[in-house]
Amino acid sequence: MTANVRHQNINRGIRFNTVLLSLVLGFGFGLGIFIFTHISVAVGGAQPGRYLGLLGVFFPGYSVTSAGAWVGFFWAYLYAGVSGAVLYQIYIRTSGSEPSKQVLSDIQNSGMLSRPTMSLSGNAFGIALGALMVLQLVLSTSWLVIRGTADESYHAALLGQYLPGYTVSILGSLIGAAWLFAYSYIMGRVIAIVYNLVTKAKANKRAL
Amino acid sequence: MAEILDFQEPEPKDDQADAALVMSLFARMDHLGMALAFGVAVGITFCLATAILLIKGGSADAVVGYNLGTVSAFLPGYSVSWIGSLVGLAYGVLGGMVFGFGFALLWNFAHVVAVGIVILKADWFDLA
Repeated sequence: MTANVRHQNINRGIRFNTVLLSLVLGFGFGLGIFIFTHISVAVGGAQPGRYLGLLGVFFPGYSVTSAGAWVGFFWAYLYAGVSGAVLYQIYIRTSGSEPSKQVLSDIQNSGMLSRPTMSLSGNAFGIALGALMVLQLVLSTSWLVIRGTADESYHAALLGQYLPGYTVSILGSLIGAAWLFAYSYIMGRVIAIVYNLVTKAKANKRAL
Repeated sequence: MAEILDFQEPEPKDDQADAALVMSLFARMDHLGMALAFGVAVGITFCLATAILLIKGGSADAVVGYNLGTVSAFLPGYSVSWIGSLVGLAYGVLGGMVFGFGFALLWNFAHVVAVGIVILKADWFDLA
């Protein structure tokens, strides 16, 4: 196989995984909103979903009703789908050849023919997760500022409890974004460490 | 894809690195690993979110912590208290594990289907 064909296959694989992550996250979050909306309707009594209904600010047409659950599914599918694509593209561009090192080592050591197990690059996943969360915070805060409801956004302002310096303003969102990036980066690394530990432990067990 | 998976013949180092990159793109995601990883991350996040409010002086009755406390509508037994933070940790671990496991399941299923289609197509072209 020529290098050109191999590079084409790599690009196809990256495109396929981007679409796949987009679909999987879109479906997962869409389903989540759909289920939570129905739970809210079931347990909410006369005023269901006092807080969940605030999603209508970002999901036009959404309400905590059975019909609104479908609208919520659509918007959550769209947002999470785009987020999934962004996450994968940042991850794959940051990780470079790191995730393939384990696979390469397996091939060289054992001439492995079975499907290998994926390993996660902690640094790349942390950066991708951090960048995605920053993007979402800045964009959602900007939306509140643009629509002129920043002063009334009491619930969004509560994020300042977790992100010191955050306010519902462009500058505040940038300050909050720094904290959010730091936390998301650490969580991304934690996810990668736990995942890689489990896969290595299982590989060692198989080797014994 | 059938060719990509064939590593029996010795290849130059660059080709092997490229092949490994393709293999890593279609590598299997470990269900247990992904479930535990997301379980730990979501659990810690939920526990910390509660603990931070408690350290700042919030309780279910005060302004701080009131909004997070309403999560109990979905998670029975949860409250903005130290015991509630442990309940939140348990819910977070459980929710994260379900998410991680489901995510890995869908990811692997889609890859198996995609790789299967590519191999079948390659076989059909070979037969033609």
